[in-house]
Amino acid sequence: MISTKKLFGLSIAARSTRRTLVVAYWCFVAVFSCAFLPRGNFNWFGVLLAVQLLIQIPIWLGGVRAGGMVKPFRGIHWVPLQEREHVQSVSLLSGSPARGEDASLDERETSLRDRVHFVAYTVSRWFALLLFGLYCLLAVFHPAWLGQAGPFFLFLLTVTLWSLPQSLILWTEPDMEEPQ
Amino acid sequence: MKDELAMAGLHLDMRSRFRRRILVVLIYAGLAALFTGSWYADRWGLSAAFALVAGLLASRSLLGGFDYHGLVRPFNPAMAWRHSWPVPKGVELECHNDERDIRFRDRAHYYSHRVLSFLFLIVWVLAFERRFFPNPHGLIGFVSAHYDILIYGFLLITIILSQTLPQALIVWHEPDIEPEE
Repeated sequence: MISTKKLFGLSIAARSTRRTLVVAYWCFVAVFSCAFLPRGNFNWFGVLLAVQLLIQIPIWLGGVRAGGMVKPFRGIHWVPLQEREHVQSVSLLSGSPARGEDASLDERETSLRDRVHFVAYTVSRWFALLLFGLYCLLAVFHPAWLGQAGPFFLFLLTVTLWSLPQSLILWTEPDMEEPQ
Repeated sequence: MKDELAMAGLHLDMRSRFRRRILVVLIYAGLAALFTGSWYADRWGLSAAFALVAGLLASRSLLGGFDYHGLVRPFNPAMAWRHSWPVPKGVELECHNDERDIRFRDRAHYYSHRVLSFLFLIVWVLAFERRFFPNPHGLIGFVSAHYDILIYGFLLITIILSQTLPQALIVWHEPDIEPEE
């Protein structure tokens, strides 16, 4: 499930390394989310960083597309829930054939992928309800803050949705053999 | 997946996939009608809260997945008792998920996760534009009040889908259930 290539020359075969990277990633997200806290001035730097972050997430963690720490989850099927799961010869987002380290997932990896999505979805479902409740409370008691706090909540939720499955995989997968 | 839907003393036979698909269509059509009515009633004011509660009730009592009610067995039976009180007698044994059920459950959540990620991205982009381009007409010609309503509407839809989509996918795709000998 984890790609065997090195990230900036750093091997991610050891689980401890991966866990450190996951913690660093979420620390960065937490700090960066502050760019969306209510402020008076327009902030171009924040805008550029936000767009970059959302674009770069698939590259950092992988999963969504080829080239990250986690193998791409798969190509695109248009028929949901079908049994065939071996079609992953082309990464549609990158537009290039999948490389060796991003080869298609075997049965265990597919099962793990689905399981972490179940966990991530369950967490996100309650997180979404909680944030929606807060959003509605803001709308009732401080409508003026709504336009400013909304992006902060939604950024947190979107990043959580996009990153949690990959983070769970990186966190839980056991140590792997070092690539030769 | 259960083969009948017990609701208000009625036991509806749901072994046929066609019937289950009709149920899913009716649920989403009903919710769409509620939200449309809510828009005309008070522009998604208090009435939207009732529509949201109706969506949550439909998720719990018709689709299931959380407790012992609804068509789909509890995703996590160990947690189901917290959501369901009192637990109907003899139901615990029916709620055991076998390996295939678990695989189907996980797969449904995988697809739902993709849909939800995309929907929240749309909502975030709208909120982002509202926050960082606060001029009267924004980038795409909306004024701030329009953005608020649009964001709120998308949020409502996304929240409802987040509560119902995996169960709806399972109910939709499960094949016909053969009657027991």
